[in-house]
Amino acid sequence: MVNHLYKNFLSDEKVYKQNIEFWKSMIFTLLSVEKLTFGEYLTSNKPDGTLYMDGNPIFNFKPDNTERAVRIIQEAPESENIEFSAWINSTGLSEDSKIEELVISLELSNETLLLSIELINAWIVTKLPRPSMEKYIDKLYTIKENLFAFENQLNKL
Amino acid sequence: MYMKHRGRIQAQGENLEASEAWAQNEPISKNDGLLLLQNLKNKIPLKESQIRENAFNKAIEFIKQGPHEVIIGPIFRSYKVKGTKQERVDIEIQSGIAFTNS
Repeated sequence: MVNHLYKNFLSDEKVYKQNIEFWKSMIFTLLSVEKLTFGEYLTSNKPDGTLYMDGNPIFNFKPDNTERAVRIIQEAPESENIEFSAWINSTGLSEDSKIEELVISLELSNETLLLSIELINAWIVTKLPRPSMEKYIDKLYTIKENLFAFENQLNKL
Repeated sequence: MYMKHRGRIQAQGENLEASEAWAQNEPISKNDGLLLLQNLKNKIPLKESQIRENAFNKAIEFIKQGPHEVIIGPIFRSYKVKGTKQERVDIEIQSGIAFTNS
């Protein structure tokens, strides 16, 4: 059974903010060990100053002095499946500044949190080249799919 | 020539990469944003459009919620088709203001 975290984050502003802090703390824990500092690179507030509360993304960061970034999209839990996927997106921050983002889309659970940390570590800390990273994403996705299929079979026994 | 208001809407996936972009001196309106989205929908295969129905609807909702203004950095939205690896619709507002009422 999937244990979803911050289930009602989209309907409760307090929970939404706690959810952001949770991600910030996870990323800080991962990157501070490597002495990496980071900041947001995307606009997260509406023109009136209030937060976009759609989880899209729930958290984004770019370590200083790098052209790599991470955007995490969190969706409301809808099923008992492990909902998780990721891809690399090339885009621009301005006319003369290009970046490559690891984009993660998930329903937050213990399982998807660990998969996220694993991918973020490979992308930001280990700095896998893009082709290797894409292979690694495929590999983890397949493992995740197989794991879920096995779990379903076990539940039917 | 530098255009103040720029962005793009994309339909992406394992075997798909289609996009519609804007770059202009005035903010793009909601109507023009919706038109770009419709153009994008029309130019991809029907099957790709059908699996993205929900993602397109979420993108429409986001456009209708405008205006959106780039403050500290761009505004990105990705609406992924659940249960797929990376079939999705993306909106990227790279600079300026997008999806105004007029």
